[in-house]
Amino acid sequence: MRPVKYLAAPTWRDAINALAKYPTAKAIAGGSDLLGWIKDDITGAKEPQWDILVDIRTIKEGAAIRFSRNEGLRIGSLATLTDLESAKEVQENYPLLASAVGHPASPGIRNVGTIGGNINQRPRCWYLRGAEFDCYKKGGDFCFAVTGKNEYHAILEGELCYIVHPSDVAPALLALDAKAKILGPKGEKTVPFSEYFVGPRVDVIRENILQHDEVLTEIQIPPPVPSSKSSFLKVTNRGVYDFAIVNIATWLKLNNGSVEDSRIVLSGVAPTPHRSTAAEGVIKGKRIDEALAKQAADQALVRARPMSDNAYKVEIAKTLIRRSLLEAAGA
Amino acid sequence: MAEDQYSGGEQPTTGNQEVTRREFLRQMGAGAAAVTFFSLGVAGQARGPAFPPMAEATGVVFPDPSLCIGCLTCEVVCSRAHEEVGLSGVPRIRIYDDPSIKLHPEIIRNYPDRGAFFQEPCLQCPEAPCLPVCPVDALRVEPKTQARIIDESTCIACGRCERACPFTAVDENRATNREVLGQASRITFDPKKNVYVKCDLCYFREGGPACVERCPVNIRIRQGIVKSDILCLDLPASTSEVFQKLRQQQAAS
Amino acid sequence: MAKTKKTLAPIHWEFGTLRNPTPLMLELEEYSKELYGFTQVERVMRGEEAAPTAAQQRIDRARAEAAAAALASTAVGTRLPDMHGYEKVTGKATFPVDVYPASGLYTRVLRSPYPHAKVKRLDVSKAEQLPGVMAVLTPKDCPTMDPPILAEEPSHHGEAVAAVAAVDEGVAEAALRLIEVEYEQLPFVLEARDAMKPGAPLVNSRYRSNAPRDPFVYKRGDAAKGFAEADVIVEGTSQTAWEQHVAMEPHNATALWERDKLTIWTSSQYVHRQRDVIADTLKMPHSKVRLISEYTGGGFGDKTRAYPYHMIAALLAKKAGRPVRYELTRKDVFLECTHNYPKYQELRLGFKRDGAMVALQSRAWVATGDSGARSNADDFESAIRIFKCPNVDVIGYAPYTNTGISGALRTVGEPSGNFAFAILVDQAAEKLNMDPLDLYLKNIEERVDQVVNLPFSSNGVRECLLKAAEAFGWKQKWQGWRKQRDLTKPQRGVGMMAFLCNKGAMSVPMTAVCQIDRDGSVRVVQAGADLGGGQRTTFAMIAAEVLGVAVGRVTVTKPDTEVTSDTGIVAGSRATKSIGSAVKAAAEDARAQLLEGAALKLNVPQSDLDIADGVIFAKADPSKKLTIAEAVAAGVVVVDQVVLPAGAPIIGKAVVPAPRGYSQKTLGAGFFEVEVDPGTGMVKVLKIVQAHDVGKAINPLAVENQIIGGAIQGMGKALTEEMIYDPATGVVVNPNLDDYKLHMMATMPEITTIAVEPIDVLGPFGAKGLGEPVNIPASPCIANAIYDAMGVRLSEIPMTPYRILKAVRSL
Repeated sequence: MRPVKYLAAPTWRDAINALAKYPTAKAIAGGSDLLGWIKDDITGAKEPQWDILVDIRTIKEGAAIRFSRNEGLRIGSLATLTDLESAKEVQENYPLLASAVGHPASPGIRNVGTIGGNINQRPRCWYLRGAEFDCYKKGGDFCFAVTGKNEYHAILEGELCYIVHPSDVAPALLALDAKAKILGPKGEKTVPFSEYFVGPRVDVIRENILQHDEVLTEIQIPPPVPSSKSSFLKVTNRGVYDFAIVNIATWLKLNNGSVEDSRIVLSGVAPTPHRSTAAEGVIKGKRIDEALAKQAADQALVRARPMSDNAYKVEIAKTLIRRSLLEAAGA
Repeated sequence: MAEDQYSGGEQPTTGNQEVTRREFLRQMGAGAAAVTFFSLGVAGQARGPAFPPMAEATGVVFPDPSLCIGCLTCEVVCSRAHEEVGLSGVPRIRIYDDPSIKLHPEIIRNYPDRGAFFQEPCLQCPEAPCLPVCPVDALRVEPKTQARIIDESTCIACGRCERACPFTAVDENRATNREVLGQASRITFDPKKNVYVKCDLCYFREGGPACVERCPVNIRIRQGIVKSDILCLDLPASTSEVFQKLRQQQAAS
Repeated sequence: MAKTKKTLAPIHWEFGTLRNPTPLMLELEEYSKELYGFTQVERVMRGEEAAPTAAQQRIDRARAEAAAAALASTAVGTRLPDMHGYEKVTGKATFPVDVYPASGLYTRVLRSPYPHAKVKRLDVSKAEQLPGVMAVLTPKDCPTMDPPILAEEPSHHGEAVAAVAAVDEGVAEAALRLIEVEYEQLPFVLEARDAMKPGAPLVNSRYRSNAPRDPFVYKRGDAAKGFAEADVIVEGTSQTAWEQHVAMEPHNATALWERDKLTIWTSSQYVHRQRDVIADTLKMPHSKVRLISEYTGGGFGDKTRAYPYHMIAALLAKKAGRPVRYELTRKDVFLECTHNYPKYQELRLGFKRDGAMVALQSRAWVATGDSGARSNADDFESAIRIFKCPNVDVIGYAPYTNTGISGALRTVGEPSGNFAFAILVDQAAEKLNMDPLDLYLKNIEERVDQVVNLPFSSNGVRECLLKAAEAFGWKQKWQGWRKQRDLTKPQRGVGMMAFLCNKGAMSVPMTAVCQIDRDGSVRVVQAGADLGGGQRTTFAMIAAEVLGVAVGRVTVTKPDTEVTSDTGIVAGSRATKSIGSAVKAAAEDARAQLLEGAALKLNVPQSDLDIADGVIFAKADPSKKLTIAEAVAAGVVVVDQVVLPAGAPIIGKAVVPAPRGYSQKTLGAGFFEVEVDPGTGMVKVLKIVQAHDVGKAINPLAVENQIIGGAIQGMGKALTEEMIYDPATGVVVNPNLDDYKLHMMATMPEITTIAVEPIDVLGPFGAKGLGEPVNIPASPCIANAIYDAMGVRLSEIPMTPYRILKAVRSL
């Protein structure tokens, strides 16, 4: 790994001041994505060589997990996935989140990996991560996946760039209607996660709205809804310690057995976590059974545009939508 | 003023005659209407607008749907190329789904499962009806490329050019990118900048039209990886022969 | 569950083994079961994590167990933990990659980003001037070698172009970025069949054609006639993928010069051959180059040759005047080292109605890579031998390609060849409406190798099939060919196959020295590397058995070309059989000398003497005895019929020739059960039973270890492992362990291992090899099991969800 400088940031403000001052500085917490990125020497016209690491693990209260019946759950973005997995507040009130945070990677990585890092991690596209490929996302002028090996790329909403969002936790947060608290030089703002992620047409260089000198400080989840049910499913190549081929977070609010409200979010199919309003539209006001679940699954993938190698993801996405709806409804 | 040059279809006041002509164009289908319209004879007709003489465009974006893989790269690079020079970012070429299209064997070979699509850019009509109808002369022939362009700083967003364009756009429900702009012809409205936009052959751009240069299928064809004599997005000069071919292809949508 | 508290007295670690498991060993396993509900072996198989104290408990118990076991003399056939196991699992073992010489430098290598290019300009001046850079290597600094040490015409993605030695890796990497290189890209070809088409680009300008040698051709009988007479014909194509060994210890070379002598520490399977090639390339006498490899953290056939990286380390060290370490990054390993090649095979089999196979025809193409002619024979060696078949026609092509070099990966072509064959045999069984087990039992040739017309030195395949079938419960689990399948939910299926592996023959050189010191302790001097299969422990057991001493009294040297003599490669499943034979013969020579001295001292004929528990005694009158130490002191040398005291340790030696007159192969059978989810394409392996004919299990624990390891590696090949080249750019897209997917402990199935002992006529104590055949069953068994579960036949591996769903859609 190339030599890097290290700065410890005692507060969030110190962190963003350092980021604002140094264009090649990057915030680091667990480092399970960033260190690999640096070691692989991924650079481009729009992807600087990061050589200053601003350590934010030292921020007091950065990992705090607070819950109240009125305000819901507040999670410091530095909370590790293991912290969240074992937090009673999460287990008892947000089973969808508790399930989601137990899925990424391995126990070792979850011990150091933070929820903020999981949300903000860079995509796994092997052209993006290959130093030999100068692609759009790094400031180059070509996408190698669209006419190359794309079995792990997007089947929905890909345009110009076909990465898929790799996070397991992001779909759960969207399904729980969570918000992101962002700190920047001009102050704090709170943004629903539905506006947090950006697709390639909006800005191919980034996957979320964070600018270089902004940080995600807190995740806010509304109070749990009493009659809600949920389901989280993940499909991988080898069953464990793997990024999802496709995963799904489903949240239902049932009223006498029919669907009053729902949020169905998939990862691994689109450049941003994909909220399937098409599927939600099919089930609204109805009771979920096998036939309806299948209809919702088919409708969700009507606009799918498989690439040369990834049509199988359409099948997997449909299976997961069907199964998660039935599981959530039956739970 | 400019208005004096008009008669019939494009009067500023809405009269039955105007509506009828517009409806006539719509109902006959753009292609047939265009043929009819042009066969009436163009310049100097008492009824039709007087066309200023205009040179043929040095190029027209000529799409081939049998090679299109619907990646939307053309839409996005069009958008970026124009935004970079301060113009509207609404894409001036649009892609639509169409499962009935017969795909080129090389596309089936290299990118099976991909689906079938067609592309709709402006045809750079040799005698473009959008030019004479503009009340503020925003629509011009660009000197270097002879592209029919809209000067966005002059455009007042009246929409006459959009209505004059004889080549309708397909129902946006079939648009591959699902963006709903209310597009009706090859000239599109940008609600953010409040101007109309159309393909201008990227006259400002060194490499020429961004879509033709960056289309991945074009790039693979040039590299010899996809074996084809034709390009997915080509750039021939807009002669009347080329225009007729384009018109036939684009009319059937 | 009663929790009886038993205390174990702390005992110093002293390895040893038992003639039979002692009551104490059994007690310890029972204790584990009582206390935890499972034996320690079961716990490992379930992949459970343990709290730190439990881990320490296990270490203590393992030591206590082994110490308690070191009571009696050793014997072949007892379960013995690896004598270096404790060092390895606690991190105390010094692997070659752990060697850090004083003032050593670190290396980084600049690699070609193109699959085929000419280096038009290479300017390293800025790199050389970077503070901390001690030497930069370019092609003009390098002697000629094939493949080139640094390439001027790189012909695969990642071929080395320049190298830097610096005071640390960071500086070395920064230096790489300062190297100015201009490439002229050249046309390239990635696939074997494309490389053979007329007009295909030449892989490298030093070749005259892409075909390095004639195709492998083998015929017997008349295949056309055989097919004409066949009642049932099955045919199909199969495709395998690029695979990397992913040894846990990355490849490495640490070079140190002393005036005119070069020492290299390297993780190796064959220090002597690597040393010879390195010395020849540097034009140095062999005796002036020393290679040392104390442990080898995984080899699998990838650490057998002298690589460019060895030479780079040596040349940089010479240029810099300081020792140089080159520990390859994982990406370096993927790009520079060898791989198992992808193979495209068209196979056709003909059977009579009663199931007898009458014809076999095959054409196969494999990618050689850009260097090293290969024959592609291994892909067929199983199919043309395992079944009695009078008519065979096979041709194999192996052209050059602009890809990484193909090599051996726990065999060479046998897993691919057996995959193609066994999935077609399964189809034939279906067409014949026979139980595939019966089809195998009917056809297996057990006595004679049909290719060379020699008897097998041992062949236990029938027993493997029958024992494995029973342990697996095949008759109960297999429900026939017309199964009902409900593809809306996960389905279970079973699959089986039996195979012959072409590896396992004894080959020269086989040399060893066995020295008995004055105190009676034994030193075996031999160059066989320990790759993790417990090879050195096996040699200790053989020597201990011959000499009648506890294994704890035997030391086995590490491979070190200055100390050991060439005893051949640890590969090709030959370590136990070949090196073991040499060790046994050397021990027997030492024993003879020992008994010669003892006989004179005890005044008893040599033939009346025996050794047990370190004591030499007369069989007729055991009161006449000597310790081994006393016998060494009584050692003699006979010169001109005069008996003189030797006054020296006993030195036994052996040079063993390769025996003739037999065909030496290894065989086995596998039975797998899987669960497939047709909705997601995910496959779970539930149960594996593998039986192998090991001749004689010298160390049943090592046998179990090899089978389990091979089953796991086979699962990877079958389900998840593939190195992928981007077709447009010729670049490897996944040279890392995120995207090259290995299997994990957490998804390990139940694995039952069976060692069948048909006693090989040639091997030491009847043993033969096992290192390689173990990864053969997985791919075909899983493919056959997926067919049983889902009704789709996959003929392309790995069988990822992508390929499984593609196949399901075609239903």
